[in-house]
Amino acid sequence: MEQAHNTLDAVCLQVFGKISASVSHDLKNVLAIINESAGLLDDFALLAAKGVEIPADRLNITTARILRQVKRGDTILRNMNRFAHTTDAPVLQSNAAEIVALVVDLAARQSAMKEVTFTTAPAAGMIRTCLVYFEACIYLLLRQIIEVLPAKETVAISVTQEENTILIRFANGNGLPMIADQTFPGEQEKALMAWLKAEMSAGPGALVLRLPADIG
Amino acid sequence: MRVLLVDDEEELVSTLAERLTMRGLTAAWVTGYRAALDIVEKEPFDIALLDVRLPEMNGLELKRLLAARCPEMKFIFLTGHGSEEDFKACSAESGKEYYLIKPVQIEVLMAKLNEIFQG
Repeated sequence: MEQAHNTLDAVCLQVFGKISASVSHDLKNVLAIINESAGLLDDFALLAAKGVEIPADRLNITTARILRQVKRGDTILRNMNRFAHTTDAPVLQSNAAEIVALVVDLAARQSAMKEVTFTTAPAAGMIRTCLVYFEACIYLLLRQIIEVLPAKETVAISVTQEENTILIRFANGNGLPMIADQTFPGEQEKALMAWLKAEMSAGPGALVLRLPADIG
Repeated sequence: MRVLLVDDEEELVSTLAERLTMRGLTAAWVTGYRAALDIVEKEPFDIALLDVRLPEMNGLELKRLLAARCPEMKFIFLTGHGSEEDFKACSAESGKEYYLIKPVQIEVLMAKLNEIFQG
């Protein structure tokens, strides 16, 4: 039992590390854009001091870019903060669709690299489980889908509740398989799914994860 | 000096190109590897400034493709990632002094561009 928990904690730590690296990369880009935009305003100020007239729209475009990036950075940090707080207690209750959408946002860098798009929709179902294990499981599934699908594909994710079961469906309109071969789920995913009492079924164009709405 | 900037962050690469142009350089920018391979067929460049993490193809692979097409072209890597693995791989290709971490000061970048151009 202790060994199983060690495996799960190691998996979650790896996922946490990957997400942190991705978030830090995104924040570096945000800072780089703010840095260049502030530098451009500085360049304009130097030109203005020499008597060169700077069109107002050039200033507006640059300041709007800074404000957009501040908003982007705030969203990235808010997501990271929500993710970090899912470790506050071993078992927590939350809206399942919101957790899935959060993980999709946290995996945005990876999906952008492959130009794979995930769409999500709000849904009412609540889940009470170890949220960090749940998030790690969804994250690893998303990584698998990103790895397997060709570039520029879209996957629609829907979350529904049937009595005491939460169903998360990943669907590709082109009917493409989302599991590479027998190596997925691997040991890490199997360990997470066993703890979460989750079952996965996969067919052409769809992958469905079923797990109890309350782990008990 | 003709510089090609390749980064999937359009707002970064366009602003940087504008600032380099204001400093007397000829700067063009693209946001993906396909556009980078296309533009070098049409225009000559002395230096390419490459993001390490690009969609579909990493900067290291792109550097090799560009170098095969433009043997005289020189390269600087610019990354927000900063992993040890990326640093080793990219600095082995370009020299560690030409592996820059975002955000970079324009004076530092200009100095590196001049240095690699004259070297």
